[in-house]
Amino acid sequence: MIDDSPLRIHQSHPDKTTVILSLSGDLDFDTAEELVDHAGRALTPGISSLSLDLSGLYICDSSGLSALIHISQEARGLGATFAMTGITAQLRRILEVTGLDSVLGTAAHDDDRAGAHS
Amino acid sequence: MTGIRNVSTPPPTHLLHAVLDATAEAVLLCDDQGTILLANAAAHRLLPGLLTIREITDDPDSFDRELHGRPLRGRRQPVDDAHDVWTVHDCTDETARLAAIAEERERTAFLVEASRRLSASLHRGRCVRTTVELAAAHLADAAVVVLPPARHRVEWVRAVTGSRFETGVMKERDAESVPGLSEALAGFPPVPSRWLDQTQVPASLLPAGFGEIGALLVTPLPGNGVPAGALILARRAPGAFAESEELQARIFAARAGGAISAAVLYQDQVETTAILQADLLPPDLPHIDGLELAGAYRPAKDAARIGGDFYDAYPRTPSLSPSGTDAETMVVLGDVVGKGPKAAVLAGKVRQTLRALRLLEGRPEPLLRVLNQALMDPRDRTRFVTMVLASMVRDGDGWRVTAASGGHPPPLILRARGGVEAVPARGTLIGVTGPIRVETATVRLGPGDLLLLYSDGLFEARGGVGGRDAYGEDRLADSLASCRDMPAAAVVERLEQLVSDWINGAGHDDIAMLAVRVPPRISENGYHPASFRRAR
Repeated sequence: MIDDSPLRIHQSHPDKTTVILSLSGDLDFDTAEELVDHAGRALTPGISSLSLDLSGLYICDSSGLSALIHISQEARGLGATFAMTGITAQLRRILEVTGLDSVLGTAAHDDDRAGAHS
Repeated sequence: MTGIRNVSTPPPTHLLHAVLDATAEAVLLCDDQGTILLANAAAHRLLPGLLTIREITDDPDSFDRELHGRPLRGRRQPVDDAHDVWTVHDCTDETARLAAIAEERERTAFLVEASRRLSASLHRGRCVRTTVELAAAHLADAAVVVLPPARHRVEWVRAVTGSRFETGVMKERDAESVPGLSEALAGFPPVPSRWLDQTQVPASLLPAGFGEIGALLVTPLPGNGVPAGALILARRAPGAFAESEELQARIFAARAGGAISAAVLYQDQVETTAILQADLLPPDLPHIDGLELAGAYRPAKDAARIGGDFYDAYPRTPSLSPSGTDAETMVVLGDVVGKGPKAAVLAGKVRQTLRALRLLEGRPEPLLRVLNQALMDPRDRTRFVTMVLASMVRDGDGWRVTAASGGHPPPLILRARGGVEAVPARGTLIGVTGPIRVETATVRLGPGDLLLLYSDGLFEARGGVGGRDAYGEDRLADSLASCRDMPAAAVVERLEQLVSDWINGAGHDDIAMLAVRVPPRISENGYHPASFRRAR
């Protein structure tokens, strides 16, 4: 079951140039800034790929979307690729409604894990 | 140490006298009638001309009394059947020290009390009143707080000991004539009381019956950088305020000034927030012929998180130029990212921009594109707004609705015959990305049909059995379906109630709804036209 802690971020490095942030919990007004800060610190020189695993996200509100936009822009601004995986059906619906799927490039990054959740 | 060696033969008399004279206490040798037989030097100084101890005390054993302005304490020690020794101590120093301690305690108690009372309120007016009341009760016969000048006028609050405070305004020129006041209001250190000429005080500063001012003290009320005002103390008794009194007044003024400026800051914040919030409050919906409009806005519970949901309805507006086209009837509902003043400011900006733009461009799609360009902020590409716009044109007994969405959940239509449809308007949220995708949808509303615009706070409201389930789009559609034949106002009220039951008092995001309904044909189900009006 989902526990009560709002947002947990787990950082992993499959290789030297790749960062994966696995999120679980709620990405909302209270936690969005925490994620932006965390991602900012993770984007050290030499990182060429930032990936967010969102399969554990329970809530993503408009502040959460804003954080995702911010991070994608920051990553691309630093020349790194940005990707989101593990998009739940609910989040996919939100991304579709807001048109963010094309802005964040998730339409092109549709992967199997996202499909597994729907 | 060898101890004191007592000699067996007494020293000569002049040496014994010298010993007695060396003690600070008065020492008197008296006979059994109290007559003084021998007195040392201190006794001659403290009790000049005294012949018998009976002159100053009837008590056979001791006395405490004042004599020639000195507090004296005397004790008798019997020597033999016929002789007593009286020692008399001058208590002037101890008494002064005790008085000083008592005074200090009183001052501390006053300051503690003052701090307690001053911190009890974040209301500037109440802080100022408390300041004059405390000062008039403890520091002087009258106290006046003068606030910093504004538009050449100076507000004051004053109190005379024993009576209630008064307030008023005086000309800045009059305030400048009060000795030391300009300096205090400019934040300079206070001028010592003895340098202030109390006869220069304008008569209007104190109530008519106060009488002559004997002493004056003017102290700044320190604020955040600039003084919060100045405190004027007046006393009837002539003679300047003592240094200790000035010090106490300064400490008091520091606390009072801190409290007043905190109250001012707080008030400023409250006002700012109120102004921002006022701009977000749901507008009074206009009356539009042939439509029922009803809105509901339920801000997030946490007051500090004033949110960014808004809605507006604009009636058809004649063109500004003779050659132009009229701006059609339009309804809009939007949701700005985030919460708090930032979101409020953005929401206000969106509404104002939209209000102006629609007079120039009435078609929802280009309108959204222009709005997107207007809101793009290269410094901050994370703020955005999602919104639904619907332009409405009369079409026979109904309305033709052209809706466009800027990344907002699609509006829903409740048909008069039953059933709920989503309006297939889609698009990208506004303010983030250069070119946006906008797909407009055109639908027709017939008599009795209802169009519902809503913010995602509605279906994202968390509650239910587990307390964490979203209300959801499907549940929302079902709820709306259950509102068939209801006037717009009732639909909004019912949906609000259903969501409220769902979240059951739990926190939620802002929830906004705007329902637009074409009145049903009167013949169909006996509706009376009057019943449409209350839907406004």
